[in-house]
Amino acid sequence: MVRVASAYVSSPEVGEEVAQDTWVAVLEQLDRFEGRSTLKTWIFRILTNLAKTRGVRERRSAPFSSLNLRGEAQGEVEPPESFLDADHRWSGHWAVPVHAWPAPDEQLLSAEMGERLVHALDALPPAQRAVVALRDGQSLSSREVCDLLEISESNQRVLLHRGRLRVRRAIGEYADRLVVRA
Amino acid sequence: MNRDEVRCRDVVALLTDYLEGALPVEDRVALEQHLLTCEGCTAFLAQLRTSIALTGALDQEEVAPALMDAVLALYRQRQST
Repeated sequence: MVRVASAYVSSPEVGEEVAQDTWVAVLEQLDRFEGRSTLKTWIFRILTNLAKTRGVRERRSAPFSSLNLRGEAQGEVEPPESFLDADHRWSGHWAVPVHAWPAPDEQLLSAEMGERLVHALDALPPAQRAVVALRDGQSLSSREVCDLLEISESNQRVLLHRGRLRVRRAIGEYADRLVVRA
Repeated sequence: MNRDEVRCRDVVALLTDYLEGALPVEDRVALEQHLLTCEGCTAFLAQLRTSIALTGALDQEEVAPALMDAVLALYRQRQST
């Protein structure tokens, strides 16, 4: 929740406050929940509304870079992985072998992996972080996330893809070491 | 995507669209055929799926399911009164 809220406000600390306010609002407004969406989606709707309001208020007093949904979805993605150069016979194919990771039930779920994952998610640009947190973190549907963040399906997929590649790369350094040791 | 010569770089760029079921059928078929013969892309897709699953496992812990259940129980209780 803090990850999603932080996309709209100036700092994770303010995001934390918004997340707490959300639970208060959830309990206060519970009578208004009509069961048309899932409870989770309804809670995230309250969260994004509170975060947006808070973000607007903050910007009036202290300007900061706000949620840049379109900007983050535009432009070429820098190729995150290693592919062979254009002049190579196998241009565009893997330059280094890609190894399968161990099954995610053993070492991959270690505390160290958890820390790396948290760090990777928190390091994502705000819009990517919000989309990854809602889709992969909270298992919300593509439609629900587009509605919540007011973005198109295609922008949502671009943000999700870029975010996922960054997260995979960040935990990949650790996971690849497990492969070597195994 | 040039379907005659599918490159790993193009496959990686399309993996989220693939997982979302958002690829045109010709692209999906070309991508799946590439996966049949490319160990690197197959391993990369598996890594991406693992990474997504780990993100899910982590964040589910953060929005405590118990808290969610408690709110839901409260809601049902209010509805029945």
